[in-house]
Amino acid sequence: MLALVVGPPHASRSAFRATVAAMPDAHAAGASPTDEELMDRYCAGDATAFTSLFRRYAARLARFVAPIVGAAQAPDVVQVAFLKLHEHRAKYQSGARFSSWIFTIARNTGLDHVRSAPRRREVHDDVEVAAEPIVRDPLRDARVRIAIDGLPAEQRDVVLLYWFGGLSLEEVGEVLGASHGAVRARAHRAYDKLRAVLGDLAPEVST
Amino acid sequence: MTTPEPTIPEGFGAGTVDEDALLARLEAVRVRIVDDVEARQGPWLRQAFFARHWPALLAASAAIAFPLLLPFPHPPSLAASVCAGLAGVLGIVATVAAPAHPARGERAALAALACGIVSLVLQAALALTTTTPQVASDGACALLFVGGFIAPQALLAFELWRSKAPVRRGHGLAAGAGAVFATCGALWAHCPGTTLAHIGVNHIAVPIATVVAATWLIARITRAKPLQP
Repeated sequence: MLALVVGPPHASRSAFRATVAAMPDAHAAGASPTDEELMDRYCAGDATAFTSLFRRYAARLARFVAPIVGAAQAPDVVQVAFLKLHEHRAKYQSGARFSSWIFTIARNTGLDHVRSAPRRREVHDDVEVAAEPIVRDPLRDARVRIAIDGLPAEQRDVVLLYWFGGLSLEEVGEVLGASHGAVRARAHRAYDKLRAVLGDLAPEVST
Repeated sequence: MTTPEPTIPEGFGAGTVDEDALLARLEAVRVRIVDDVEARQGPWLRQAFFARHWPALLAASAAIAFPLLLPFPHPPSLAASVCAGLAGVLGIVATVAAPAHPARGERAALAALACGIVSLVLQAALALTTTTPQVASDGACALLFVGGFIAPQALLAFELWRSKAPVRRGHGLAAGAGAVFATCGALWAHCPGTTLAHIGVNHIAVPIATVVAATWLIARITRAKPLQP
């Protein structure tokens, strides 16, 4: 089964970036093209450009949608998000930030998925994932997920996009249609609440 | 005072993904999309330039030939005609660029649209400011308009359809407006009419309605069937 888990953020981000950097990429020979350049090439019929985008974003999207739909469903939602990207690629406008666009698609796909199948997000999703050897503390992960679920929707979206999706605050603002200041304020409020609920977890991990 | 960057303590957790397993699981969808791109756009992209773009080249030839068939007695508004002609040229360029260079195609389409709007504004200004309005035949003007734009318009739409590339709004608009404005540029230089009613209907409303209808039609015929999950 696919291992999609909740774990320490900083180590995972660097490991993720290192893994992505090590992947073979059709465009890696020259200067690394931007996402927007790749999207334009993909729309122009360059299939390798799509592969590059796929490799850049698949894991980030899975990590982002997992708290919305549950770890077990995340790959299916990412798959649908990529199919939607392909179907609607004509709607991409040059100059628009690709990351904001794809995360918006993934977010809407995830929300549609949750709406169309009630109770897909069961806590035992996490217990099931606990069978994976790389899960260190499934109970802690479940607590984190429940705490994030308890946030107001606008704050939860910021946490998911900024922390799980790895977007910048500016990009989060573009996805949510909010100003940079509003996003920062929401993030601060959300993290204050998470600290209040999960405060005991931090020292445990830092040791 | 600046607000500090929002941070969350280590250990609260962000998602980590077993990427190898994830990519393996999503490989099927990646292959489907890659195959779809290759199957749709690959054959057209591998053709030589003239084989790819003959419809647009033919459309451009037809658009150039049209004004040569018309006499240019006393163009009431040369500036509007030039702007419309420029919009036509840019629209055709945008359509040619769209399949292989979508970003350039969009920029050219925006420039075409800007020139087209300026030309329409100039036409409106001509009708509003003229002191001795000249009467022209509405029927003849409409007939020449339709006769001038139909063939190049169909060829531009065919060019986009053949490429099987995703057609963005700007590309569809460029293809829809290119032939219309090219024809308008030639027709306005020929038509002596400067009455408000003639310009309002024949030179402004009809071209706008034609562009809207053509763009809608092009969007319909170039829409690709989605892949099923």
